[in-house]
Amino acid sequence: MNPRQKRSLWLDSVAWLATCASAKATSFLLAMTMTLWSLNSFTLAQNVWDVNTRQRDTASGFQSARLWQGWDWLSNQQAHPEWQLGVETQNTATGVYIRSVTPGGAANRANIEAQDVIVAVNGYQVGLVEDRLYDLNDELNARADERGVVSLLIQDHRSLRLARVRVQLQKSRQTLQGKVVFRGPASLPADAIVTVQIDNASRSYYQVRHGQTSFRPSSSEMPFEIAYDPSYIDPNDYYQVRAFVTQNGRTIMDTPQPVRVLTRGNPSNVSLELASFAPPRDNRNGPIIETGFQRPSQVDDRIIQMYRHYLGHDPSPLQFAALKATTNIEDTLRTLPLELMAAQEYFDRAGNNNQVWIRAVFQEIVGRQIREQELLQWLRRYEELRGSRTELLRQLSVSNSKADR
Amino acid sequence: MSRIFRLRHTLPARAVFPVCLLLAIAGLVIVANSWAKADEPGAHCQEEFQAKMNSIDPYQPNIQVKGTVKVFGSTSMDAMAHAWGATFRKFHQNAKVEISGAGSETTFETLLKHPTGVAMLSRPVSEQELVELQKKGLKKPVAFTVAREALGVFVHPQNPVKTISGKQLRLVFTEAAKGQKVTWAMLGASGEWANKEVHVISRTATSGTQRYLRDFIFAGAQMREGVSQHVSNAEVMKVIQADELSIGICGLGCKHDMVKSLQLVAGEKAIPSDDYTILTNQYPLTRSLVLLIDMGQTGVGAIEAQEFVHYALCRTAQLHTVIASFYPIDPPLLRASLQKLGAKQIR
Repeated sequence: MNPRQKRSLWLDSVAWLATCASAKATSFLLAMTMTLWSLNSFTLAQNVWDVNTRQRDTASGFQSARLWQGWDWLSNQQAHPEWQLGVETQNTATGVYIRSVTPGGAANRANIEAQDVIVAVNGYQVGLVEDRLYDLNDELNARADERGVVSLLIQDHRSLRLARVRVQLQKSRQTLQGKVVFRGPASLPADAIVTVQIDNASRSYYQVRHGQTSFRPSSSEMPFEIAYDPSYIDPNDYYQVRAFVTQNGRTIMDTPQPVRVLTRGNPSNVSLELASFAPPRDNRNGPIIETGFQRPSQVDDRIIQMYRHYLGHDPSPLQFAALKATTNIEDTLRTLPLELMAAQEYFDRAGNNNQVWIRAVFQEIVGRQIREQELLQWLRRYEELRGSRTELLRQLSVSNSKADR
Repeated sequence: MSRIFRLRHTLPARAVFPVCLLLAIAGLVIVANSWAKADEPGAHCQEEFQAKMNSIDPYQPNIQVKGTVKVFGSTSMDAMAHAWGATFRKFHQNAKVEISGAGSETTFETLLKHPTGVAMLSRPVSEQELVELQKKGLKKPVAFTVAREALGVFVHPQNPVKTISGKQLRLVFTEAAKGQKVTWAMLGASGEWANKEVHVISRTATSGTQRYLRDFIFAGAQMREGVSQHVSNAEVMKVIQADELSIGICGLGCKHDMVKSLQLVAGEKAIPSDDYTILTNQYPLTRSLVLLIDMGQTGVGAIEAQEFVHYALCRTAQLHTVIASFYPIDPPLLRASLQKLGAKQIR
């Protein structure tokens, strides 16, 4: 049982006590006092790291509690953004305050009114808890059963009583549906992951919220549904959908031709065909999957080469995943050498000394040893830039490319 | 017993040994395979990372930034801030992001001179510091945690100690046990190691890491001077690599095969220092990297600075924290920051 769930049991018992007591104001005060007391007692119990690190941490004024939030967060991972309550909200420390209710929506049908406060979803607190915000939408989607039913703990704004309400959530109507088709001699590996993603084709940096879904391969024709956030869709932009299959973090299949969708008269129901992902020319003896051997793509090779060259080791799996998840990998690869040379690790490896670092990066970028006069000039520039290593590297590479011309 | 007995009697006597040998080899192969799978580097970590990134909202501008956003402070955040600046300009083509990394020490002074700027600090900011900033002229200074750096406790690979608790950490790195000789027995070593002295290797007192340890991990306690002090993580690692009795705390990014990082004991559990435990917030020894702005300032410059902080809390910027060898912050904390910022949150 995780901390927030434990806390919610307290809340439930408080709710029961509060409902039993008839005096409205007293019950509310009692409920709030007990809630605060129970939160405090559990926080103390969960101080897992025995160094006294729980002093006030950041200027935010929030208390830094080194609790095991991780497990709690993991439990949210299956959230599928397809259910809505139909309310406009504001997060508070006591729960999620409802500003307005959409007429005819799920909340309206369950007699939830504006000014009510949602305290918990299926026993999990929502709103601001300590220094963290547990989003109502995420909790609804993580806790709803397959029919979209959740149990909400709500404080009624008229009686100030806490009540448990069962709500049938409404389905978000803006979905992109379709199927991913795989036509191959063998089936897809069972441990692979199929991802379908909506991209903004006009402005690639504008990502679509919830514009992605992932699942394990099941058959040669796999239906999918992406419940995207329509407020991230600009009717003037073009959008495309693509599917790709990864295994152990490497892409093994993708759709060679993404399909235009959603805006400018394009459909909301598509069929995506998978093909082997950029097989190297010298290795076309058979499909990659049959051999069970994934040859790293050229992008992977370039990333590894750069890390080995500048930092003397391979990128961590996490860095690898982050680099490959950037919106424009070519752009990222272009700036990666400068980022690596500006990194604290590279600076430390160069002896944590400005002069030695400038000598090293000059050699890297210009391809020859720096002269003493040049060193003085670049050291002065480094001071002018107030120690911004990346800016110095950028200027150095610009001046080098001008000299080349 | 009876089954084995029957097997012995159904198989020819000469076949028993080869069959047993084959079964033993098959068993070993299965066990080795399952170990290899469990240790496959980052196999599950990448999926966790993807899931975490998906739960962070993509950036959607609140305003169109046209002016210059001044960002200054911590040198260790410089590369990350530049990556943010470059990608921020994809959304705001007329904007300029000026970044200077003069170090965390002068950040407050610079912020007082340029209250519409964005200050970078590679450590948390205390409430007292905020109050002082307010006394000196800022209207409403607010700090936002935008990334985390993990710190590791490193020893020589030959060292038999595998774990360290918070209490032991305090004993070794502070003057808590004044005058007392710290031996490896205090960290659980036995035999010939028990009476050997612990050699504390530290960064210089002015370094950000050392000050963070003193002020935030050991709550202002006097730090043990140690055998030697060094200006960089790389130097500390070199000494640990050479001295069998040494111990030091460094950024986890410096970890390599020639040193061993200790697991941190939290409650009943020993937590290894890997990407997975840090990403899932189990690993206790991390430091916050902070952006500090004056939310009380009005005017275009101040709003544009807030927009930059808003960007730092969105998906692409959080991806760049990892590329810069840091870690993203967890979504609930990130959302609370967005709410504090008053950024448009679409639900």
